[in-house]
Amino acid sequence: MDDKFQQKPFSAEELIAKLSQASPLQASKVLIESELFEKKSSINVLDEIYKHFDSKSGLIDELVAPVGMNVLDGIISHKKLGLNRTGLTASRVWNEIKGFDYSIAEVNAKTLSNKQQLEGMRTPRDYNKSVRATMTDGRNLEKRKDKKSDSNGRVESGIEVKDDGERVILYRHQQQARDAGESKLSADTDHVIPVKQINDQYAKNVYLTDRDIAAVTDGDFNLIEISNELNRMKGAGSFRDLFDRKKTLQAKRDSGGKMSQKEKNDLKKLEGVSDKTLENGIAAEKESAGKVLGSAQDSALGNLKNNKKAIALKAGGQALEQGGYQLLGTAIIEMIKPLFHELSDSIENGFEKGVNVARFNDAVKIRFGRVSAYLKDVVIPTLHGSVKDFFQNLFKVLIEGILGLVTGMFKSVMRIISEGFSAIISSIKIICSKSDSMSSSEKADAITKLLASTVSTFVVMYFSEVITKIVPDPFNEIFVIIASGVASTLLVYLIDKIDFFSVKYEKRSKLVAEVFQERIAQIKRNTDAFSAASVQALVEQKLTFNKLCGDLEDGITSDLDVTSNVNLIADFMKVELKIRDTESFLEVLRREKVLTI
Amino acid sequence: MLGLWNAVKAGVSMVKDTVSSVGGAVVEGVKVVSDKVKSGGSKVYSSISGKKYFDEAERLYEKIESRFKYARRRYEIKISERSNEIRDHLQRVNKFKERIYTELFRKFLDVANRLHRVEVEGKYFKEFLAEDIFDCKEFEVVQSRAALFEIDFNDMSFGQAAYSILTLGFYSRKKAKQSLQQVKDEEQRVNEEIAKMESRITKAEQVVLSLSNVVIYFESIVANYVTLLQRFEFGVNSQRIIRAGQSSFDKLGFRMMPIRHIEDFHALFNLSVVMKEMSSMGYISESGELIEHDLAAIDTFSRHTATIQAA
Repeated sequence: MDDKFQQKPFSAEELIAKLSQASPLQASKVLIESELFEKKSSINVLDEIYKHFDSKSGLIDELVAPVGMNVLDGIISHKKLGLNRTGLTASRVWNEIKGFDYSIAEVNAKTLSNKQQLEGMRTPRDYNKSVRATMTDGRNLEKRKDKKSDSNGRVESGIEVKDDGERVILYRHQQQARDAGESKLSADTDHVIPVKQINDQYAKNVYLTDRDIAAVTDGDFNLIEISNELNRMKGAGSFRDLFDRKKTLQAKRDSGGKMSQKEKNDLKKLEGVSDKTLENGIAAEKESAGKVLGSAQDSALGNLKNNKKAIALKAGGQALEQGGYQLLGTAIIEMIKPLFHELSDSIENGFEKGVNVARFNDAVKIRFGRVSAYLKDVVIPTLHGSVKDFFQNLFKVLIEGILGLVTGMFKSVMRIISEGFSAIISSIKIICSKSDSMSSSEKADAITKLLASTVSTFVVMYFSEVITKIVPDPFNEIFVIIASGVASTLLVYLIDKIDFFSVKYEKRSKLVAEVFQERIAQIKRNTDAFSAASVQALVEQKLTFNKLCGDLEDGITSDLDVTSNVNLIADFMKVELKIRDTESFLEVLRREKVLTI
Repeated sequence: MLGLWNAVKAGVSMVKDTVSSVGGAVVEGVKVVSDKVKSGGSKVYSSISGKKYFDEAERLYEKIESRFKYARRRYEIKISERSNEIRDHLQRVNKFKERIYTELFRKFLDVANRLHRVEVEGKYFKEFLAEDIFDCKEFEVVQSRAALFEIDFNDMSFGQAAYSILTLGFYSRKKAKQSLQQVKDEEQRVNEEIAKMESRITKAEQVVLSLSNVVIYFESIVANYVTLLQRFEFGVNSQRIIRAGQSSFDKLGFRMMPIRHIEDFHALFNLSVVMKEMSSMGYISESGELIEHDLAAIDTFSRHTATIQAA
């Protein structure tokens, strides 16, 4: 149930707290002020439910969403487009479509072609020596070391610092270091972001070639000179790992925890590296990670826009088509967005009203005008290269299409049979469903809609043979998917609007009953909680008072001092007494000429 | 001959009877069939035109109306009973307040002023029961037939009838069903109103309970005040008698009093503060009137006689 129709729950604890804070003399007022149900008139609530029901937002979710998801799923799982391999899912794209707005469309287009494509890769490529060999070349590291050395064969460490804060100077060659008796200070050129991490993150991206990945791995921004000792200590881990381990071991030692021999050795080694050095290392890791990502994105976008043969080099001819089709798929999804937006908007706000015009023709002009403007201005410029690439591969695709024609026809027939069969099965299921979950009118309505949408799909399928001839593969299938989706949506919407079986009012009554039954149950729960809390508090107050008054009475009859009894009664009543002990009372008598109550 | 004639007559008569009885049976049979056809036809008509929905809506509407009427009546009786109880409690409380100002404080000042000058400032609050305390008029009654029924088969306009026939009953069926569903919705709404009434009754019961506590507070405190005042007065009078024999005795002052009488004085003083607070507040609402009752020192009583009498 929508939150706006709910009765606010009443808190018994709150009432008990209020009663205990207030004077027992004010209990009645506290009880009267307690709200056990909202003040809103039930007629207004009923009106609001009617309005909510008519708002049609539910219709979009009930009607357009399943069809939309089916269409998207058809496109995304299309074997040639292979969009599912890019990490796209129908629900993800559907969410984007639902949030589509012409004013923010450009951002969305970029998001899809950039971030989603880059981050969409899920399973990393297997990593081994031969893979590593394609990513990094020892010669690059040596060249870099030479470049960084001075004429005396000395290299400044990228991150290591001495106690005085100056950078550690390393030896270019191992022999030099040994000769100087500082064998630990020979320079190593190392990857800041480890090669395996880059493989896991980027290798499967269809828009990055092996060369792109190698360029990123051995890029200047990802290399650093450090002492061979620190390099050995770091191994396949990161500076962040080293820093964390050092702190953990130190904390363990300081807290008197028992340390193994290995831990003691490790700590000794780690304490030989200053915190500042490790902090520099962490900063370098952060900077390089940003640059690696930036460089990967640039390469991917470069491939995406220019679509040089770079993608083809990645994994042969099949991948070329794959990459091309994926780009094409992206373009198709970008085209669907404004189309679905128009469809949903027409249903929700009216075809003409949604664009604030009175005539149907004007609405058509505006709606289709803005779709084509969007495609021209936003989608086509971004994906121009890919579309061009697709047409370059068109011959290949056409041959495939002709070969698949015979099997294609067979497939269509099978599809019609299976669609029809599943529609009949669904109808039987609806008829057999329990009458308390669906009334007979609702069943009739559901079956009509189901059959109508199936028929509309058949009609579109019938024309698909014609479409196949006019539209090239794989557009034809996509076109059929979209057309059947849109046709069945419109048909079902029309049936819903005509409401042959007056199901609308039945459904609305169901909502009304659901809302009011919950509201009534809440009022009852509130009243019970109120009654229980009130009785409890009032009985407790009465018992406390009886005890206090009984003690006072006993005191009076036994001729005792009752000032403290009176104080307790005043405290119970939450009445403030200015003079609480007899000493002070005598003091006041002496000081004041007149005592005022 | 006659016998034969009689026999023939009897035979004819028998045949006539038989024919007549057969005829009767046939007529009866035709009637049954025609009734069946009629009722069957009427059922078909009801289904096609949607009259069955309309009839159901009418029955339901009447049921809702009588249920609401009953609930409303029950609510009014219960609330009126609780209101009377509250009124009684308030009257008792008002009487206590009045007695506190006109009798008890006066008596206390009378005794206390023999030891030290004491005054009571302020007024007490005479409370009335506000009419709208339980918002009796807040509930929404059952909406009118006109608001709920989209079609009336008992009084169908020519246009509606024609439209229904032209649409093969589609129009009237739809309107009747809409009416039925709207009446069903109204039933749900009325259920909420009834639940609200029950909730209000429970609240009123708790208010009565809380007020009965207040009455007990007044009763017990006033009773103890009276006893303590008697003890205090007795103590003061005893001291007067004791001091009266002394040559230097002029006026009894608190300094001459034994501490136990000062303790009583103190306890009564504080209890008066509590009682004054209890007398100045409203327990249900702020409807009522403030009764001026400044009690200055005992010797100023005469100046306030008029006010006291007015109270």
